[in-house]
Amino acid sequence: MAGTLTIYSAAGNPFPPSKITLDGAETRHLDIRSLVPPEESTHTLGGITIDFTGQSMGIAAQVTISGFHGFGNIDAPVFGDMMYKSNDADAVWWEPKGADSHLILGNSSEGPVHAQITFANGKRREIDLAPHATIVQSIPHAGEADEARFHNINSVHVVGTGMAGTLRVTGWVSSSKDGYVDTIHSYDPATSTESAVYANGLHFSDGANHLLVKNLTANPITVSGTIYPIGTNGPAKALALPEKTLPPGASSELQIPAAGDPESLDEAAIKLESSGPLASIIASYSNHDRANQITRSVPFKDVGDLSTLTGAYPWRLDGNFQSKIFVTNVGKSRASIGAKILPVKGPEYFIDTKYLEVGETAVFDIRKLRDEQFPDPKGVKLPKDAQLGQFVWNTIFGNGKDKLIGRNEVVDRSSGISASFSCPYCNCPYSTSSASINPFTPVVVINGVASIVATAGTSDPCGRGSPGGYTISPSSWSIYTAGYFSLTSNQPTSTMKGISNGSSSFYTPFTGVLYAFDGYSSCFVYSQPVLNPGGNGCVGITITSIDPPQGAVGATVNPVVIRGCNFSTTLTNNTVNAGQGIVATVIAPASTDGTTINASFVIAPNAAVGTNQVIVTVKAADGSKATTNPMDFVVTQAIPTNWTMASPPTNLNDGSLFFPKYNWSSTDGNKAHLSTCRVGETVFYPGFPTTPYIWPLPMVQSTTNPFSPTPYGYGSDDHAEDTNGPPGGYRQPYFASSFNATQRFWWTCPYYKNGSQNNFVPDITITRKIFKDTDGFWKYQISKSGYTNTFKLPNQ
Amino acid sequence: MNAQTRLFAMLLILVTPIGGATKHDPIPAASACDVLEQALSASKHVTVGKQRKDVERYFERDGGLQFPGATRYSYVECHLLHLDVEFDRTKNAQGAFSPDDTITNVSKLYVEYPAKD
Repeated sequence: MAGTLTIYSAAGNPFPPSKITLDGAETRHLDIRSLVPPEESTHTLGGITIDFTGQSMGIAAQVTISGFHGFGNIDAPVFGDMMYKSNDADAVWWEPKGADSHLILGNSSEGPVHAQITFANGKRREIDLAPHATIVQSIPHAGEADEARFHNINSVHVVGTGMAGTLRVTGWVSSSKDGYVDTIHSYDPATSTESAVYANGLHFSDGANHLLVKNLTANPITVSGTIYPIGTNGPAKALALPEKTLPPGASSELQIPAAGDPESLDEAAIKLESSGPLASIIASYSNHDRANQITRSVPFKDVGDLSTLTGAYPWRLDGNFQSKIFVTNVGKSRASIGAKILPVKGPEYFIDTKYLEVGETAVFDIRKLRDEQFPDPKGVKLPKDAQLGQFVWNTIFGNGKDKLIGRNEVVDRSSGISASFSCPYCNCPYSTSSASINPFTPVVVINGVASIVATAGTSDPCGRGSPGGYTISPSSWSIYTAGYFSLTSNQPTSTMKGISNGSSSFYTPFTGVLYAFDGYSSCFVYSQPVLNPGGNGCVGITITSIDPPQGAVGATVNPVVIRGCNFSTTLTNNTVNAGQGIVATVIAPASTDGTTINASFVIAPNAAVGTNQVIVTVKAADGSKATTNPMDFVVTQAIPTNWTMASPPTNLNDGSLFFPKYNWSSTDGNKAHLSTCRVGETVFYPGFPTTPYIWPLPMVQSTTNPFSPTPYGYGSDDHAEDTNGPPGGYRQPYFASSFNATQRFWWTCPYYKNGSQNNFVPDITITRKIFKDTDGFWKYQISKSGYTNTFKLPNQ
Repeated sequence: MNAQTRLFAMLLILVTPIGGATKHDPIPAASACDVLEQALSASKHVTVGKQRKDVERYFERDGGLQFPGATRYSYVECHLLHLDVEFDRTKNAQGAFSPDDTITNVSKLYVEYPAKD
């Protein structure tokens, strides 16, 4: 995917753009200074744009300014305007004593934007931004009498003109004395879909922690919260935050409950709820390790948008960098995710289904996975020298109502860098469109066991390739006929245990979900198909099916495929008894897994019409014999058979091939027994099913395609004739042309295979052509079954 | 004496089909309704109890697969017009397409391309 990067000066003037081409799933670090001409490097840089043609979110980026003030870093995502729903922004942050805060305002558009900033001290500032301009605005502290000032909290409210997303707001707070630098994260209140915000991957140990919240409304609200610590096996017990009432517009720090060792809360997730309406609160969390001059700040999220159910983050392991991905289920029911790691110059590392209970966080430590060479389910390991790549995760098997948050924390303690990445993958999660089990027909002996894995097939609504199948942990199994076997559930691999001879179908209840992406920014659920993956379990020596399940009196049915389990793989050790009037013989081949044998059934002409029972007797190696369950085989009335050309064709003068007599017989030798059967033909022309078929010139004719002329004959008819005619006319000038039609002769009987069509013989090709003969004349010729008729075209 | 003369010619070539069909199935004449009316009238003569020879007075056997017990006919003046006729099969079990086969059922006249296979 190709893109164009343009750097702008603070005044909004572009530097010469740079072209960049990224391979699929490629991650690349770019030094922004390298994108600016050396002679221009003294300019104060402003914004950056990336233009590309392709899928939405095809390219995502984040800017990290490291070595900020000599020890810290700030970061900002590079988003499209579509990610915003208004031009307003709110922010709240920790501002230690002696620290200064600065707001960065950027204009992403070609037109001017006006911003009105309301500071925590109540003062306002009006700012005009030229197209693509960037302005840094010093932020005054909160008012002296303000409780927020007392608690070292600062905040801003920004209202912008112009299209949504054209005014970008970020900033930093820094204190050289404390070695403190943090990014000011702003939030677009219009994107809020609920009165709660979430964050995960919080760091509590080794520093001072500050959890701040601001009331954005004009009414008092109460804020409550829950911390979800990481458990060793599933989620640990959640901790409730003391409720706090906030006056209108007020900011406050929330007390984090003591939980013994702060490390026990590391990497926890948090949920803050407001008693107010949507967009009533914003929050921030920071952990400052003064000794190492590292500040970890965590952005809070609203999870109403389906885009929060996906994530694609760049990771890096070069030097002392670490990358940890946190994905938390902040919803009210169990959720599941799938993921993949895409190292640069390495194979895809697949992360199979990870179920997340409410409040549970999945942590993926890329460095640990690499260094410990932990294989994925397919045996793939991250290259030992992998330093750069992408991590992509998605909700799977959901219904669009899951609530998940994710982010990637990139930390280098040695250089004091802590950055957070949280780009959605494509605004739309994977669809779950199919599901199956493996094996489809598990076979066990009595008291034997077999492993069964259910897998869901997923597809990417954004069309970025097939994500592959994810393992389902079945919540339960439904067995159609109980008593033959049992199945375990709630594990990725289910165990089937044989109880008694027999077979039954079974499935696990499972509903898929299909998402649709509008190609711009919206995603929606448009279908939730019931998929219920299942199969047919077979226990002991059992017949599960016979194909065909019927035969006509007087007919020889060969082969009859008998499926089931634990037949002998030695052909002669299987004996088939198909009941009175049927001589059954086992014939080759038999499957090597004992699930299929073949037989020939010769049904006597005087066999009774009705249901016979087929039983297979299997002789074991020790000479003992066991018999299967009986399986029905229906003997029907006679059926048509032996379609033959009883007389050779006659060449008619108009070019027709006339077959005066096709004949057939009855399997029981009495055609009168076929009076309810019908006989007919269907002719398929080129381009089927497009109809009508217009014959190629010079032939002038049209034909319904396919053509199955009525009235059909009766099985008891003496015979049929068939005329394969020429076109209705010929058009000059003559030239060579030809086409083939396919003729099918068939029969039906109401009592046989539910009245479906059965072919008498393999399809026959009818060839028609116009050609110039050796005598110099243009001629029409028809060929079928080795016979031809040639007709000289008129007016030559 | 000078006389003013106007030369005139129809641009006939523009209205003549290039390489016109040299042979074609009978198609409806100038008035399609005339042919339809004739076919409809003929079909009224084909009734249950009459014989195959009565059908073949107005209609001819269509192409394609045909059976003595149930036969498809097309109108001799227009092969797009069809009639399906069934005959007493107990009487023709030994033979085929006998002129004396008795009609047991007649369809309505319908339009379909001629069967060519």
